[in-house]
Amino acid sequence: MFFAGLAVAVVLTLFVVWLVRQQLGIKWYEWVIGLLAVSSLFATVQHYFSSLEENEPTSAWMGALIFGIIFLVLAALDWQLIVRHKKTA
Amino acid sequence: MKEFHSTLSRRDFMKSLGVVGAGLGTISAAAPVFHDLDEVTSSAIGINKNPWWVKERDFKNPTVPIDWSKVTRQMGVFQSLPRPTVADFENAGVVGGTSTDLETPEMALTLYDAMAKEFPGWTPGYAGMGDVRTTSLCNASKFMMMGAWPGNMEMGGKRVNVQAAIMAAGGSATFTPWLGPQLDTTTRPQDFGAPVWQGTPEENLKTCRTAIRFFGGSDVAALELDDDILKFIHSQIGGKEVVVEDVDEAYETVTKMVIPRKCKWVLMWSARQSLEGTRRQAGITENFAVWYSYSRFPKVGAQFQEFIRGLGYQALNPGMGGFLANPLAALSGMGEHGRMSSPTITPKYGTTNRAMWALITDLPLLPTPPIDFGAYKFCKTCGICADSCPFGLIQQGDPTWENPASAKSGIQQGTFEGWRTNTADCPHCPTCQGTCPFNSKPDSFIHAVVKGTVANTPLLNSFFTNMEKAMDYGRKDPEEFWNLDNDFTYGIDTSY
Repeated sequence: MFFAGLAVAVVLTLFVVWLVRQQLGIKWYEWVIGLLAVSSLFATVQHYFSSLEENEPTSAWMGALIFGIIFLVLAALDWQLIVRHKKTA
Repeated sequence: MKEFHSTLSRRDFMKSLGVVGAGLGTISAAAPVFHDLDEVTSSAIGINKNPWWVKERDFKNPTVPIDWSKVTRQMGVFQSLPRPTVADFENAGVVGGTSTDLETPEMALTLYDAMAKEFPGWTPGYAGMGDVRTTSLCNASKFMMMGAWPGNMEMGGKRVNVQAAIMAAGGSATFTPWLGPQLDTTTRPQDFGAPVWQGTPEENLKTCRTAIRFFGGSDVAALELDDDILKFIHSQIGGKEVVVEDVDEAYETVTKMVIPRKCKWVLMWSARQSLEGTRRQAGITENFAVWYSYSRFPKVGAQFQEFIRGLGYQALNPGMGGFLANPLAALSGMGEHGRMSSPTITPKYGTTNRAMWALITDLPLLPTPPIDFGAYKFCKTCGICADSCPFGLIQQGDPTWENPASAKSGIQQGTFEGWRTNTADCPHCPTCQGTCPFNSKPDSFIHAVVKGTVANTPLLNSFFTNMEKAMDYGRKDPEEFWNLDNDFTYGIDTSY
């Protein structure tokens, strides 16, 4: 679990560094929305697998559905915000 | 360096700091406050490693309001239904006569119908407890249940009634006496001219915690046995008076059990039963999870009594029928009073403790205060357990000072504002214990979020109750038990 977390942290850090280097001019609220999207993705994965470990399959897929939809909405919103203000720039 | 310039302005940065600060402030406001490290380790929260959202309250002020002036000592008579016979079932043409706890044939049929609706495909089997392997596990779990000596059993090619033989020799039906077993192998330091164990009350409580966990229990808490707390130790146990006397050593006669005045502490200890077994109880009565707990925990208690004796102190066992567990557990910070009434809701294990037992001792113990993690308030809006009761015996609605429906159980009226289950008519069916939302395991982060919220505000309690139902927490199909690949030794996940 520790190494999985470490790997995720390294990948995320590299991704953020890459984003900054792209000079996309990401606004502060886009960072916040992005952070919320990543948190939702983490919640989706964590809840799904741990609920299966709890022998709660219904909770696993319902929770994954709820948090997964939140992730998709936030990620799509963030992506569109960044793409659109880049176009206008 | 240009590419590392942030688009975040200083103003925006300060704003985000404010958001983080507000979040930290909220967390710190909700978290328990300790003034020094000693206080952390000496509290019930510290001793039992309760989660961060559990808060302490003032002594004798649990979340359930108590009218101390009306509380009096009770006789300790366990009011229950008359136990049906096998013949009652045979005459009624209903299976389950050998397995019934207190269920009548009519009640058994109600339960069989309820179980078949809840778990399609479930059948009562030949004994009312489900399929053959489940029935077998139930029966095998009953060996020496409640600390009772076995009846007829195989010994060297002969059938011997052990219990009858012990009773014929002047012994008792169980190995859980008031004074403890006091075995020859349990030496006391004072008998060898050595000093008895000397520890601070805090060290002693920790010592008890470590010993009880070694023997198979979970958590501990302590109370000072003053006049108020004595009200919850019954005035009679098994027909014998329970009295406090100015004597050095506790003793027992044919008419009374004596507590030396110097035994000024009550140690509460708990032990859990299998969660996966608990929520898969089905059929005529509770199942192997309960029976095996009752088989194992009296031995834990007896050996713990011997441990205290070996330290050079006394430990008196009032037995399950000798005290009121729920108020003592609530007052000592083991958990909170909740809708089910008898079981204490604990922050880590919900209602899946089978032992919430008390010992009276002269080993000085640090008293632990009541706790609040929002359970009492949550029960006001939840009611899942009451809705699940096939016999409608668990009190519905808001907590009250009286519940006439429970009066015949002997439970005191007017003494606390809570819920009173009609235990006199309760047949000990398998349903309610596995339904409590507080039983949930802590693996998913969502439980910490929900329990942390519940502990601090009741605003979302109704929403959480609905989510509990929608996500199908609670009871599970009994058949699944045999296919679980991730259950634990004794069915207990000791990682939390």
